[in-house]
Amino acid sequence: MSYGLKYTIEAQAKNEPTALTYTVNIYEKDYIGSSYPFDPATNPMQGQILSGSDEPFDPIVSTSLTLTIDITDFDETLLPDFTTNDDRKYWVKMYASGTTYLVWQGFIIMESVTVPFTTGRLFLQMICTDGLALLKSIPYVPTDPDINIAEDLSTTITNCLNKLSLPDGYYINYCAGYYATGMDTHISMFKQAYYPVRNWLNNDLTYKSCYQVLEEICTSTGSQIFQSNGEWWIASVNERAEDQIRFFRTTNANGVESIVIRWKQREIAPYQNPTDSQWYFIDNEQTKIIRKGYPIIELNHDLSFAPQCIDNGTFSRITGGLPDNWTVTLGTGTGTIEEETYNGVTGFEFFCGTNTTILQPNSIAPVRAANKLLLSFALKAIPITGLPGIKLEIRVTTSGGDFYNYRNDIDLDRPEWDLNATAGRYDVDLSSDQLNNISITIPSPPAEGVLTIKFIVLIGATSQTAFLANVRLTYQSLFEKQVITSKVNTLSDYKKTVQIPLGSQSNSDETESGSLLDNAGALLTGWYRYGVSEIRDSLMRIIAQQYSNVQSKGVININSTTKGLFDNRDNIDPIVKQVSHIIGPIDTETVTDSGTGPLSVDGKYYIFGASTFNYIDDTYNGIILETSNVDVTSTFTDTLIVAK
Amino acid sequence: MATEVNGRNIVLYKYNTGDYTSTPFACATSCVRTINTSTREVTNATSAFYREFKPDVIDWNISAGGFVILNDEYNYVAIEALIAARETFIVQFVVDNGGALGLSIFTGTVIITSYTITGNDDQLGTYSFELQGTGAYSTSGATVTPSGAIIISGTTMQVFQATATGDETAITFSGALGLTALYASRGGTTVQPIAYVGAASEPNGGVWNTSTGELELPAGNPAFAGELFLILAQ
Repeated sequence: MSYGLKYTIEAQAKNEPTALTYTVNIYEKDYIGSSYPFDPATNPMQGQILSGSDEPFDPIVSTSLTLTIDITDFDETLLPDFTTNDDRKYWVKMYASGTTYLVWQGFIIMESVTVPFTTGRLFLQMICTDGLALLKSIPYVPTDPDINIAEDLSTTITNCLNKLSLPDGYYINYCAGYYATGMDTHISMFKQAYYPVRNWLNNDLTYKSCYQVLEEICTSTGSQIFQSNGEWWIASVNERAEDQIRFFRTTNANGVESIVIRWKQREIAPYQNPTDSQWYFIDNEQTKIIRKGYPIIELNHDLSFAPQCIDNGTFSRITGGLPDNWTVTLGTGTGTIEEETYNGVTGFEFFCGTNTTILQPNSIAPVRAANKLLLSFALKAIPITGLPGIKLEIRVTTSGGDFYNYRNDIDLDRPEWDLNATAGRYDVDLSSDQLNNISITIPSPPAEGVLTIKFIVLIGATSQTAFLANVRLTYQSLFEKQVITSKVNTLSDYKKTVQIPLGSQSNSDETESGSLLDNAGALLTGWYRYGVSEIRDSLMRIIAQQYSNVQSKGVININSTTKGLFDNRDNIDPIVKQVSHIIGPIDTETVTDSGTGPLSVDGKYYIFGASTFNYIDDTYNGIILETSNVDVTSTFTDTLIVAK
Repeated sequence: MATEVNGRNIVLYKYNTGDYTSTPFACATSCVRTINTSTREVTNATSAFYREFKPDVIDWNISAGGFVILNDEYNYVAIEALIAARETFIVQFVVDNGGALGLSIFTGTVIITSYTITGNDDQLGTYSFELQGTGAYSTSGATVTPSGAIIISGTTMQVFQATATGDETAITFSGALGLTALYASRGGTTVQPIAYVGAASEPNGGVWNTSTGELELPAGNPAFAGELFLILAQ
């Protein structure tokens, strides 16, 4: 797929001392030909940071660009095709000063375009999206189809953002300095924390949307994902409350990262003169908005397991007539297996031949001794006297070589785990030859080990044929929730509750959906903030501290119109780099305040909230949100809630 | 020496880009040029109860009017044709400063935003129009660099006057001893220029002597009897 430049918009800004020229290039998919300039209207280029609240921990911060043009004298046959269903037909890149500064990139949304149908000067407004909202309708696709493979989070993030199909690719910057014991602090945490892709499954075994995946990763790392200067950022809310930020930069190819330390905080100060004043309040509308803090902050993680722990359990991947990632052992002689459909359910029918035919999944998530197994599948077989519809070998093999088979094939009061019972099987008896839904709840195995499951048809008085489909396995913990509570005082019970999907300690269970793993599959523990010596059990505990740092106390946000969207400070220090750029969501602000009382904002750091950047007017209007990277003294409790 | 410009010597022309000629608007009797600078407020917490502003966008406009006449100047019919064509065009707002100073020319591109013709019984028909400037204007021609006096803060500006008896070549203001005369007039006419050394310029100059409080007059234009002299001194 290629794009050709078709439209341009150019306008000069009112920034001082030297006005910048902003250029918007609009590329059309598969276009070859000349480019056509649009005449800019008043306020032709306005960027928006879209946020529905003043919550600084909003994980997804979408941005948009509104272009307003005068099409009165434009050949209407050359206008963009606003009726297209292709969300990526028109790719937009905005620059300042030629192509020196990339400001933003995205796509024109065709959802709602109003074109004047009258005389007089005709103005058209085009709204462009950075694409994050498009990810709501795009399911996640992992690199490897095996659901039990753990991906590092940077691979997961890149897989999501690559669905935007930005033609030039993109840079991505990771700025969340949280590490587990054993991690290399010269590499971003996201490249070293692994997460099995099965945990991104919905209950119907489809994958969550890429938007939801990014949202969960950012929520769990106290970060936000946004585009700034045409690059993607995963940035900690707290770490931006510093004069410098340390981040890791790589591309959409997710290759080797480079470490960058950047000084990026700018100070809003009273206006003096055009030469000395670069950022100042304008229009005399600036107000402080005080928000009461939450003395109690509660982070919850619902202990759960992926709805499917067997890879390709539903046989959605078939190659050469056999299910992928399953081992098929055909009975000698005439044992067979073939794809079949009954009552709209597609699976495999296997015939035992003269002895047994076995289907065995190759990839099953590890099970802990404390967890129940919930196995279900669809089964159809002709009842044969003395022969179960199917036999299951459900086995946990310990590291020492012993194994336990879960069996009901001998005279027992109830099924049980049997040590080293080589012949132990679980019989699934059928009373009819109709398609049955079978559910088996298997109690916690007596010991930890590797779980294997075999589906066996065997010969009896006659040969057995069985149809198997929709095999699903999940686990159930003894506990239902992990709760980490931060309490700074007992003055009130005003509480903020946050759901954390990833990064819990999860009762030290690597399979549990909240667990982050190293590249060997071991649970990551001993978490700490870069540059801080204190070590905590889980990432969730670290994030609880970060929430407390910002929201346990009252915050003073500022609503204003501010002049100055260009930071022209170049820092030649080889380590602390600062390059001229157009102000974007990654930038942090401080505000000069001569007041000394509790409402003074002197020394506070601010990140952008919902706002509008008027590039030609060189102003920003909106709210900036207080953030902090200073640890607040708080009492923490970490509790596992037993399931009812 | 500069003289005041009579309004008759301020003329609005339409500039013709084809042949580089300038055509006055027919029988124009008035023209007004206005320049506005909008401001952005930068009042902040340190502004100490005063609003503060910084300059923002400049806009300018010209209005003119005259008698209805269909001559070979830019007449009302030509103006109406301009409006119908929805054209922008260049105008020159020209001030004839008189004598050696020559012309000061203000040039810019405008759009006609309103146009009126009025016919009253037994009176000359009149027309008027408004021009909105678009883009920056330029100035050319005669310029004079302004110069001024240093006004010392903390001392009072005082007015002194004296009536001549006749034929004086210098008028003394005893109360103004040690003060600096910043302005002087004689018989209602401004003494210009006021110098502080040398000889008084003919015919209306003067030289002020701070140490004596005396205004020396030009040799060729002494005071006449009853002529009123007035100075502002500080």
